[in-house]
Amino acid sequence: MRPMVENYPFFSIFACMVAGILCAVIKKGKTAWYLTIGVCALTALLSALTLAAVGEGDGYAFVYTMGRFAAPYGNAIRVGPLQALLTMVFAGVMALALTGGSRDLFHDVQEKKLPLYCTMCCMTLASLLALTYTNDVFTGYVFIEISTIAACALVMAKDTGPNLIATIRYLFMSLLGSGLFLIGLTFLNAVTGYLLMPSLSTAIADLAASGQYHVPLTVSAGLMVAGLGVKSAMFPFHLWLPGAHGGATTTSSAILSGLVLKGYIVLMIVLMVRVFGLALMVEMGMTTVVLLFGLMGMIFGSVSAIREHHVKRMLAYSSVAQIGYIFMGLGLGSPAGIVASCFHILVHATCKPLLFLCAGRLSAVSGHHRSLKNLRGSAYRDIAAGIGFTVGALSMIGIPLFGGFVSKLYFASASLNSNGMVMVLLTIALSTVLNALYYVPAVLAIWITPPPELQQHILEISDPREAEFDRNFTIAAVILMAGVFVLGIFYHPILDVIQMGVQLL
Amino acid sequence: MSNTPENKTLTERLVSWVNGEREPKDQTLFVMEKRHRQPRRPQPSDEEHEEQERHRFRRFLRGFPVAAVMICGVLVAVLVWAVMTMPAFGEAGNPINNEVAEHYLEYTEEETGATNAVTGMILSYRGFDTLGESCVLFLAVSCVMLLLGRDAHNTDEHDLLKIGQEDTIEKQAPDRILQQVARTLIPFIFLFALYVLINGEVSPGGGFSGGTILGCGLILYTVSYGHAATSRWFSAAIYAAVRTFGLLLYAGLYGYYIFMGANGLESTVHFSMAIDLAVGLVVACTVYGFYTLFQRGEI
Repeated sequence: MRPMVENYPFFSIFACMVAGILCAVIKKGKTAWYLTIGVCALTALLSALTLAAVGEGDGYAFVYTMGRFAAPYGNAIRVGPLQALLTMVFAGVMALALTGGSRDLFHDVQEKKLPLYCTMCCMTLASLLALTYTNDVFTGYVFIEISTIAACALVMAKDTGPNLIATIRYLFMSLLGSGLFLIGLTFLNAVTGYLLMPSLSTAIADLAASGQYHVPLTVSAGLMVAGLGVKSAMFPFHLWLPGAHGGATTTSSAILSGLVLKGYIVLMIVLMVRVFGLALMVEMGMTTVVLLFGLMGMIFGSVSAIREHHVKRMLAYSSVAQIGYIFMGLGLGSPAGIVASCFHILVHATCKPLLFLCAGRLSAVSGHHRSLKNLRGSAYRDIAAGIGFTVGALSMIGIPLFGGFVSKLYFASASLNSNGMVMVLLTIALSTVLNALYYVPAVLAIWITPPPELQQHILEISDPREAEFDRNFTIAAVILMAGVFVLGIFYHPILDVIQMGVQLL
Repeated sequence: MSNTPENKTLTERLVSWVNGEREPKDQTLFVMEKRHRQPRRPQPSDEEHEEQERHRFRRFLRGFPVAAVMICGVLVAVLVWAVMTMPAFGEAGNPINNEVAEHYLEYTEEETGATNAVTGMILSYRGFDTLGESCVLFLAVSCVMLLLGRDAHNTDEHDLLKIGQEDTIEKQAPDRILQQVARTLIPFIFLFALYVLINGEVSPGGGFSGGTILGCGLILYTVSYGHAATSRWFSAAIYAAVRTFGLLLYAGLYGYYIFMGANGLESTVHFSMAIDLAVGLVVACTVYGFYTLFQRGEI
C-alpha cells in the first residue's frame, strides 16, 4: 500500500471526470455550477496536499501506475513538485473564473444548457490535470482531444453568430494541431517502439547517440512542437485566438486564456525535458525555432493589441504576446529558461483571468459595451473591477511588486550567457514598452470621467441590475489580486519549488 | 490614431490619446451617434463585427488556395522524406517489435483473462486511455446538445410547425416495406450487437464495435417507425440516464481497478465484460444521439 497522498493526483483526475459526467444529468444549472466549483476547490486542495508532501526537503517525484501494470506495459502518471504546484494553481483559478464570471455566465448561457457547460468545465480541468501529470505520450494525446472539444464548447456556449464563426476557426486550427501531434507521435513510436516516457527517453538517447533514424526523429519532434504550438497560439499560428477568446463569455475567456493554453505548454515542456532531453532539442535546432517564434510573438502580439479597440480582443492579443514570453523561455534551451517559463505560466494564469473577469464586469456596468472608449469612467461604477484591471495591467507591463516583474527579471537573467542574449534582452525591453503602450491607455481610460452626455447615455442603456454589487465577482477578483501580489513579492519559495520541480521532471 | 484630425497640435493629440480616443475608427460610437438615444440591444457591435468578419473571410478566400497548396506541398514533402528513412513496414527487426509487443501477445490471457489481445490492451493495459476516449465520445454528444439542442435561441414556431407536419405525414403514410424489413432485421441486429459486446474478450469486437451496431439498430428503428415510437420507450430522460450510467459504470469500475492496482492490492473482481458493456452503452448512445440531434434537435 502506498502512502495515501500518492493517490491524490489520481483522485483529483477521477473526481473531475465523474463530476463532469454527473453534471450532464443535473437539471438545475445552479446545482451543476456549485458542483463544478466544488470539484475545482477539491482538486486544488488535493494538489496542495500533494505539493506539501512532494515538496518537503529536497523534494521527490513518484510514478503512479494507472492499473496493475508497470511501465512500459501500462499507463502511468508522474507527480513531482512542479506538477503539483501547477495543478493547484490551475484548479484554483478555474474555481475563481467560474465564481467571478457567474453573472455573465448566467446571462450568456441559457439555464437549460448550463449543466452541459459545467460538464465542459469539469472535463477541461480533468484534461489539464492529465496533461500535466501524464507519463505517457499517448495519454497526452487522448487528453489533448478532450481539451480540444471542451474548449471549443466553452467558446460556442454563448450562442451568437461571431462566436460560432470563431468556434469553427478554433476547431479547425485545434484539429490541425492535434493531427500534427498525432503524426509526430506515430513517427516516434515507429522508430522507438514505446509510448511510456521513461522508455521513450532511453530509446531516443540511444538513437541520438547512434545517429540512426535521425530524420524521422527530427521530423517527429518538429511535428509535435508545431502541433502543440498551434494549439497554444504560438506566434504564426495565433490568428484563431482573438476571436475565440475575445468573443466568448467572461468565464470562458478567463479559462481559455489563463489555463487551456497552458496545458499544452506544460506537455511541451515535459516532452522537451523528459522525453527528448534539452541537449537533443538544442542540437536538432528545435529550441532556436521556438525562440524565434516566441520573440516574434512578443512583438507582433503587442502590436496587434495596440491596434485593437475592443477590450477583450486586446486582452486576447496580449495573451499571444505573453505566450511568446513563455516560448522564448523554452527556446533558451536551459533549465533556467524553463524555470522562468514555468513561473510566467503561473503569472499569466493569475493575471489574465483577473483581467478578463474585470473587463467583463466593466463592460457589464457600461451596457455591455466592449469598446475602450465606451468604458470610460467605468471603474467608478465598480471600484473592485477598476482596481483589479489596474493591478492586472500593471503586472502584465512588469512593474515591480507585481508578478509580471519577477518573471521578466528571471527571463532576462536566464538569457544571460545564452546565444541570443542581446536579441532576447532587446526584445524584452521593446515588448515591455509595447505592453505599456496599450495597457496604460486602457487603465487611464477606465479611470477618466467621460463627458457628461456620454456618461448619461451609458447609464441609460445599461441594465440597472448590472450596476448592483456583484459579490461573487468581488471575491474572485480580490483573491486573484492577492495571487498577483504573492507572485510578485513572495516569489522566492515559489521559484525554489519550480526549480526543484524542473530538476525532478 | 487615424481619425485624429491633422490640424491638432501634439498636446491635443496626447490628451486625446490619454483620454482613450486612440482607436482607429470606433464603429460602435459611429452607430451610437446616428441613432441618437434610442433603445438598443445589449450588444450593438455584433452586426458590425459580423460584417467585418465576412469581409475578412472574403479577402481570405482570395489568397487561400495558393497558400494552402504551398503549405500542403511542403508538409507532404517533409512527411514523405521522413517516411522514406523510417523502418520498412512489417520487418521483423523493426523497433516496434520489442518486448512490449511480445509481452502483450504472450501474457495477455494470463494477466488480464482476455483471449483477444486487443481487448486486453484496450481495457487493461492501457485502460486509462480508453476511458479518455469514452469521455471524448460523451463530450462530443454533449457538445452537439449544447449547440443543436432545441431552445428559444435556435428554434421558432415555424420550425416546430415543420417538424410537427413531418411527424403527421409519417404517421399517416408509413413506409410499409421499410417497416416489414426493419421488423425482420432489428431483432437480429440487436442480438448480433449483444454477441459482439459480450464476446469481446474472446473474439474480435468489444465495446466500440458492439456499441456501434447497437446504435445503428436504434437508428434503423427510428427511421422506420418514426421518432414518436422510439421515444415511447427511449425518452430523453432514459437516454440521459443510460448514457451517464454507462460512463459512470466504466469510470467507477476502472477507478477501483486503478486504485487497487497502483497500491499493489489484490483485486479479485473480474470485470472486463462489465466494462465492455459500459463502453458499448456509451458508444451506442453517441451514435444514436448524433443521428437524432442532427435530425430534430432533441432526443
